[in-house]
Amino acid sequence: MSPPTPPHLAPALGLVADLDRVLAQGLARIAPPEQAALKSLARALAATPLGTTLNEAVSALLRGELLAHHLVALAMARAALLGAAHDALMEAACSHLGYAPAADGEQGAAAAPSHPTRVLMDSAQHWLVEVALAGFAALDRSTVQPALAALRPLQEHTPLRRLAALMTGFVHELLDMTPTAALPELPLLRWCDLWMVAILQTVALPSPSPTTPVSGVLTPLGLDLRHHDHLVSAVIHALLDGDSKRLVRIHLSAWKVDAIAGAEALGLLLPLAPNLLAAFSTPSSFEVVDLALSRAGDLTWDDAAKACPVPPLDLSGAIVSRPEPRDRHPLHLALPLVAAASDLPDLPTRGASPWLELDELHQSKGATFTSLLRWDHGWYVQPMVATTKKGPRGVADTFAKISKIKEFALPVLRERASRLLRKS
Amino acid sequence: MSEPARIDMSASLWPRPRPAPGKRKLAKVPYVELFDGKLQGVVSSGSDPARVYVSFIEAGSGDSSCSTNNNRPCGGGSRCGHVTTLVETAVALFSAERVARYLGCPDVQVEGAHQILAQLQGTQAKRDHGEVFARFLDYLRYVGLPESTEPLPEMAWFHAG
Repeated sequence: MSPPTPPHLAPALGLVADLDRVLAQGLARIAPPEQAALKSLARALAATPLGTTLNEAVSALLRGELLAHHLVALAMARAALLGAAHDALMEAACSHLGYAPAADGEQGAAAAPSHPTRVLMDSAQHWLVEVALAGFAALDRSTVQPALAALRPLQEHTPLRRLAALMTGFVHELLDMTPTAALPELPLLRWCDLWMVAILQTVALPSPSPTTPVSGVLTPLGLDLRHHDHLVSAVIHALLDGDSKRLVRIHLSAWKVDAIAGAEALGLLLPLAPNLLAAFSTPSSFEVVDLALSRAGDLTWDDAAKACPVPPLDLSGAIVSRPEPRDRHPLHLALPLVAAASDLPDLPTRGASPWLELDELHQSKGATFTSLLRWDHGWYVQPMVATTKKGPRGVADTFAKISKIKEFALPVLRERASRLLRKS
Repeated sequence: MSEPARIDMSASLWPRPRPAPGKRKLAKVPYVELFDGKLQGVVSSGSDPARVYVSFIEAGSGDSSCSTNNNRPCGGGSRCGHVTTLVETAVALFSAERVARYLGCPDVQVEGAHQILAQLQGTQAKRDHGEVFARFLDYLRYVGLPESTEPLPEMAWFHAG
């Protein structure tokens, strides 16, 4: 049985889809169907706090005033619709799973960017505007390639870490697919999402999420592995049982190259939290004292935390944090659920990284799965860990492979590159 | 101008699934990419461990170029073993169809490097290889960037590589 679909979701997503069609055609020359879509969007959001800004932006764009801040207004409208969708989906999922959504809070003000940061943000914004003017359906290599040079300064600039991770993946993905006019199908929803998130991050830095110290027993539940060619990022979902019972997340990421994949890529994360990650192979919980937990549910981990036996697991009533308001998108909904194979909701199973080797495990009838309930135009379940009679499987298998790697990519690459240095 | 039929509005948030890359001998071909209208990369010498070749083949024209780390042109002609190895590795990593498409082959329903090379005429071109080497160095610098324990919500869009 799956969670219900919130009412009013379909019309909100319909407005997003209509805007996405406009972004596909490009804003440089807006044809009548796209003009109508933009006007509909403005009408639909007229009564919201964004109403005036959006109305001005749409009018200006239709007059051919192709300014960045009008495009940003479109991104804001899109984000607002998807943020509302996220909130509705989160209520439905928490209610279904018996979790307690945390109380909502005011978004804090983001720090003003320093001048060098501002320059980098403006440069990225300029490219994102070019892309929107051209339209996703008509992107050429010449439009995308110039963004490559802007990636390095972003990657080296800590305040823009999130934008760098996103842009690196986005730019390379677009470059792989140009000329987009030749594609049989555009991943339009995805590209508009990436565009929207990126351009909003060129306007203001992410808002800080206030932190409080927490203590208690932390039990790792599973690992969600994300990656593109240049970055591997793990989210470890865990239950923290202290003054209250909360679902929390711990983050580990490392830059990489495409030649580093599979177990070796996961191995890049091992030095960041070896004891925590070992708990996926030999189940363990940890006694944590005064770790910083952000309002959005992100925990600053201390790998020196003392290991302890895993207590009986009961997730019912666990508090689930809400993302910061600017970060609300249905894709960020990821609620752990622990179920025997036979009790898993009758939902599609997908989304686990192929590097976690979970595919065959669906067949294991006696297994208990820790998965994430997620939503992508329909509910689905993403497996994280399987516990079988033989012990934990999935990420445990991948970690076991690391010790069997005969040739690591990195030393080979560095040695070969050294041959290219001129002998002078 | 509008082509709504071609835009898949039911497309999800997921990246297009890519075929798992084939096995790769990194020591033999430490670097290969489709970039700026060229299939280019670095191929190790079979005979001399200290020697590497920097090679590429151009989309459209099929012109190729290959020279050593000491800037000596490889003597193998426009279809030397290094260029062939480069194309074979690219096929294993990116798929034959994608490589064929990138290089501008009339027929992209091919199975291997030989069918790709057979479609490209091309001659041996004299080119500066500095750019390819610079790209390789730019590639390597990623692994020198620091790791992080900060949240990266945006990586949610990059599942299952």
